Amino acid sequence: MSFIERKNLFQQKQAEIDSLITRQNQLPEQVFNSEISGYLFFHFDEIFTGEFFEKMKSFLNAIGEARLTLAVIKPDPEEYFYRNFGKYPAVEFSVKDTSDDYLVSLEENPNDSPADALNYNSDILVLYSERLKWAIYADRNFELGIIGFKEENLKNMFMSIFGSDFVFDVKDAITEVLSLVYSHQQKGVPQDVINQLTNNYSRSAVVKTGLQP
Amino acid sequence: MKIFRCAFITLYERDNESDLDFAQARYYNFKHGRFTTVDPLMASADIVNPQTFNRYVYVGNNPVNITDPTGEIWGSKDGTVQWFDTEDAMKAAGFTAYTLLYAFRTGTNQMVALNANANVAVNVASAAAWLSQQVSWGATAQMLASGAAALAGVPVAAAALALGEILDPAGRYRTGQNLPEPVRDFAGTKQSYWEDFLTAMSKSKSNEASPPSANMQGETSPANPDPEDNKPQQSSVKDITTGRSIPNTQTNVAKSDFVKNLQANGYSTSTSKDGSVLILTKGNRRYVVRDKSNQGSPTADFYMNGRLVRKIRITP
Repeated sequence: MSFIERKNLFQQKQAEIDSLITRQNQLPEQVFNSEISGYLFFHFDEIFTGEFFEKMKSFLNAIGEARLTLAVIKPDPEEYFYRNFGKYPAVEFSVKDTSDDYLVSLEENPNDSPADALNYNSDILVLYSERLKWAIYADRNFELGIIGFKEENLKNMFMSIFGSDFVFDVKDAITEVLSLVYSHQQKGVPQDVINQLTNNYSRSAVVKTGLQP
Repeated sequence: MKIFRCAFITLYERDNESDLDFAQARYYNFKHGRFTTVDPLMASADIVNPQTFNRYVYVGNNPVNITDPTGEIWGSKDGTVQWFDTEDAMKAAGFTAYTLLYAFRTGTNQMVALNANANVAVNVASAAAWLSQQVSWGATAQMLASGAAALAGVPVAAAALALGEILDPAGRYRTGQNLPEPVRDFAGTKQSYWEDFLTAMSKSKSNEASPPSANMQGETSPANPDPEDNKPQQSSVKDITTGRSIPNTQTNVAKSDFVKNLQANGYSTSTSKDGSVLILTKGNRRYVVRDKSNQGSPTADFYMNGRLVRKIRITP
């Protein structure tokens, strides 16, 4: 496990992230780049659990990869994190790391500011592995993580490892998660949010049913 | 099995915001889980230390007069407690209408019964011992929820939620989430968790120091009522958990009150450099309070031993 501290390495990570997502976009817009299709959803907060990391290691092992990158892209990595704390909000994990390593790194207080640890002050995170065949885009305000895949077999592998208790489709994302996010609003989830999210990510249902797009 | 029950001759204003059924019953029956009480607006009281019940005189070391523990109804007069077969018998004996509230004292497993109408609190540890032989601790927990709710000035559902977090062994948690070992352990941090929870859920008005007034029917009015708003300031709390989500609570408590209550309860504060994240920590408990940048309401994530166990949706 290692935090990204050198600028050139951080820039490399940013380039990798830019090959997977469009940072300027935000949910319910399409945030993934066009090569990615087929989506699964999960609860945002799952990212910060040891169980998530253990399953992620199983997934990486199953697809023959060894390293996982977790990076916060909002608040701004340079303008906020580097300027205030002299470090980038990005960590590279190995499949040899333990879930304790993972949790400790997410809890690490930058400059004795516990509220700025990655698991607290992170509005949008991206996770991916070395071959850039899949990515997670996680938005704290929507309380959702979305996994996008470039290959169908990766989706199936992810599903089999994480299970149906963990992942769900866009319909459940709206009824189970966004309904809570907007619970204080009389009209519930705004219709334009439902429409955009459904239009942009409805292919996730294909994964659950096993049907071809 | 004997049913531990007390009579309530009180009226209760229904909380229209939460639409909770508890407010409509006139009795609290432990077997049936129904409860009626006044709202004593007692958030300033510390359940841990009944001496802080500034509306009640604590007489914990006094002997308790429980004349007939096989009866079903308690009556109270001059701070004493007696059992009666019927409510009419209680009244005929000159015992006034009263409200009996319950709480658990941290670390002692002693029960405290508070006679709200007579402004007297009675330590009924012996009754608790008797009770523990008669009913399951699960049933006792329901009773405690009601008492704790009244003490904290929050709906019974709020206390039940807090207690359910600890006590409900069945299905409240997501599959695969290794959350508190179930039930029947009122000691230590688990117990103090719900006290904090209830404290945090109290609306600011309920922190007023002077006592509420009570009439002969056991109805209470809020202390120093706001002339522009005589309605008791009652927190509304709903469990809105859906599907696979972690336990979710929605409350009408304002963010500022929520934070203030926790700080008053000994939580230390840490704020992110950009001010977007506020962490309140006390021992192994942590609330992380955030505003939402979209249209969502502010949230408070509650962590126990580093694990997120509940998301509370509070009012801006």
